[in-house]
Amino acid sequence: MSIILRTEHLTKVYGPLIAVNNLCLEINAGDIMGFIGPNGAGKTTTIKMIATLLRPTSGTAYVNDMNVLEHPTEVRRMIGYMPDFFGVYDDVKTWEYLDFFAAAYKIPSHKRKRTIDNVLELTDLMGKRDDFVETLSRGMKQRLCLAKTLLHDPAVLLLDEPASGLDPRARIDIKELLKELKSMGKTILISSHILPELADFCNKVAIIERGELIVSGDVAEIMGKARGGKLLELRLVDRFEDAITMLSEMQNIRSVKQEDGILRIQYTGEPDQQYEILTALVSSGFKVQSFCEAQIDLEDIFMKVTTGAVA
Amino acid sequence: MTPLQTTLKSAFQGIKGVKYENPVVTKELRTRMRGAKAHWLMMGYVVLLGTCLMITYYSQWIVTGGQFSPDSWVNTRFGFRLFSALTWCQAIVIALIVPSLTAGSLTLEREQQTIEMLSLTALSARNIVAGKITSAMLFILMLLACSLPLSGICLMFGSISPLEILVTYLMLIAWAFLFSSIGVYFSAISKKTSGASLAAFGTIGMYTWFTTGFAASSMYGGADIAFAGLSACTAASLSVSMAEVFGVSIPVALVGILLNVSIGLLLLTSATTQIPYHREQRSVHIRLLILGIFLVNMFLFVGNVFASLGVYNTQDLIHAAFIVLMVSIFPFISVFSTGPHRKDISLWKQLFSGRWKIKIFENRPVGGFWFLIAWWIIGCIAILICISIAAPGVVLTVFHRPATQPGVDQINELDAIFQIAVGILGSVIAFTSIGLLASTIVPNRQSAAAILLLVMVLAWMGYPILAWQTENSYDFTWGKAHGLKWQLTYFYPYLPIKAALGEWKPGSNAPYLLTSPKTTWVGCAVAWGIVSIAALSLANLLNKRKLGIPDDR
Repeated sequence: MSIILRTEHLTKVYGPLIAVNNLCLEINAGDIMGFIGPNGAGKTTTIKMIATLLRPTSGTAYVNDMNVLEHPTEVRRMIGYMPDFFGVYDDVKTWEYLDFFAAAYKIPSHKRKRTIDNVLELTDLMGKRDDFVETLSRGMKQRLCLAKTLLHDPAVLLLDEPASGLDPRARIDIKELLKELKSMGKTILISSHILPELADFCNKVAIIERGELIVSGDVAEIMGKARGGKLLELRLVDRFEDAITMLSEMQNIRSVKQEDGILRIQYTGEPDQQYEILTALVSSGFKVQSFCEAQIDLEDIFMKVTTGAVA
Repeated sequence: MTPLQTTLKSAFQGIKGVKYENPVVTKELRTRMRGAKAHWLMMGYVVLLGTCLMITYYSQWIVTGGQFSPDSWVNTRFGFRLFSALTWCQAIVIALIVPSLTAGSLTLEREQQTIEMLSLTALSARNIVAGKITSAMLFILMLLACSLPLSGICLMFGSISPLEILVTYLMLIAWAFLFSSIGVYFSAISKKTSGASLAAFGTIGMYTWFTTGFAASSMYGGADIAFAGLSACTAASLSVSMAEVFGVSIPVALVGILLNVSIGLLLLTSATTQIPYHREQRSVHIRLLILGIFLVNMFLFVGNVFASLGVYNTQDLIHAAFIVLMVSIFPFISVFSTGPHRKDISLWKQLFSGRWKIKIFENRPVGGFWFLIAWWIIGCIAILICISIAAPGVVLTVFHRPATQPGVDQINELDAIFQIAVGILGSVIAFTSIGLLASTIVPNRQSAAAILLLVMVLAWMGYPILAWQTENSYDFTWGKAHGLKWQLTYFYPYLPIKAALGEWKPGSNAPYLLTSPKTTWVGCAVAWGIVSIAALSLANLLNKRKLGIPDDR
């Protein structure tokens, strides 16, 4: 798969503060990368540099092999940027707002109506087409901003905290919308504090702290690295202590813990040999209720890597 | 189809093919014209102009004792008078309306946080600025169009031609364009609409005042009127006048229109570079612009007085030029010398170490300190150059009254300008230092500026009373009776001008240092110098204590 977005030693310095330090990232076409970090880590600065809104102190970024410093106009055509804090023109109607941006993106006038209707449909705002923007709820405004971002059909979306400040219902709406965009083959770099929400649809993750990239890559891979293997969950009817003793003696099992009636097994072996654990348990007469791989928990990864567990 | 028809058809298609679309214009007009607000504004505009015409008509009615006839209209140029009043009214109303239309054009985008999204579209900075100025100009054109029926009434009274009306409207459009450009420019370099509005109103007010004063005194002083067309207030009177520029006779209106449009285009070009907000560059822009406006005004002012030397003498010219310089610079002292200081280094080091060129434009009160001093020096040099051109080698006859022997003396204008410049520089530095001190004591800029303004008002309002008493009660009895020391008179910021030009005549019983014009300016400089050193030392000490900066920094 081709690399569509990459940063090379991207650095931004504000006086004595190094906001982003030597950041190197790579995102393939179609990837959804979760960009995670605490407040002030440098996420927004990085996204703004990629979006051509901030000039890096050193280093650069490429979108589809276009250098953001040398070809900002071309880069802007390929990206859709949604800032963390954004405003909307209150004194215009929803369709007027989108019409303004469609014209600003030089979409020919005869195609504009169809394009606007398409993005309104996608963001589920068709019913609000003739409403004034100021009457929309925050969640709707967020979706409207996303609709605006999609008008010129960008290949890469840079979404900075798209779900911040939204109620649970609105968050679910945004999440569904992002899944839809994923299915449309868009490449997305998304920063968020709400880590479990990213886990649903991100296949890549990059963690940044104090301007430094701590880790980046495939979510499952990093998860394994962070935990020192996979986390398997086992439910038994009884004989927990016997099971723990037996499992602890098996190869490729680092640890076994019992939590809330579930045995959590740190497995370091190959994925295609996981079945051996189940086979051994069943053949030893254990009554297995369920045996599965634990859900990926980005929060867990984040907590581990930002405390230096992975570096 | 004949060849002519074919050519016309293709030409028409060509015109149809040219399609200018700026979404910013569409959006701005859409929001501006929505609702009743714009229509009320238009109605108010016409009612105001109509009232102005009615008052002019009524005043003329009183003058003629109600004896109106077509002959009297022509004899008194009644139609011209009406149209002239209409033009004055329109020019002033435009100057008042335009900043509110344009000063928020880009700052509102910043305040609404839409500027980033706008910057990422295919619109260039030039497109954005062009859209903002076009929408403002279209609205102004609409207002001007509303006034056309009233101009038609003036035309019916005779003594004014359609050409004069047309040219006057063109001058009003150029006037509106310049002011819209000033509004957009300040909007581009400011972060908040309030700041941009204040700067735009101030600049437009200053420009209106100087250019209209220049035009009025040029016309009535019978002097060269080449630059009188800069003001649209007097446009009706000058619409068909001709002037000599470099030996070529050209219409005054054309000079005015070209210059106003050129300055406007220059400001707009500069505004396009400021769409991504560069806070660090803002102070450079504001300071250079203010300095530029001041120098142009100084040139217009002194140049105008030079043009009508029959009205003024050189002594009055120097006097007036320094008043202009002081009136220009003193209000800005509270703006430039207040604000947050750097927290990592002592105030003393901020002021006196590093390169002065960078310091002048540094976005801090210390930068303002050096800028104000540089502005004063540049202003004095400008006065010297203007007066040297106006009246080369003039020896001023000033009334010197030494302590023992009253009499008339002579002084070179160079000496007079130097004495005034140094004498008042002391007070400029002192007020600026008090600004730095106030910024150290109080946390926010507004409070610091308020303190400084209070000190300045006291200096300007309190000491003149003392100085007046010193001058008029020759033995300083009034001062003594109130327990005051004569040295306090030196704190009157206006004293160096009066002294150097021989207008300061205290009694013979007063001490020599105070009575001699040759030493008064030194006294003023020293008095304010002491205040400056005290204020700066105290500011440095308080700043260090407050921030806990070690002695070696």
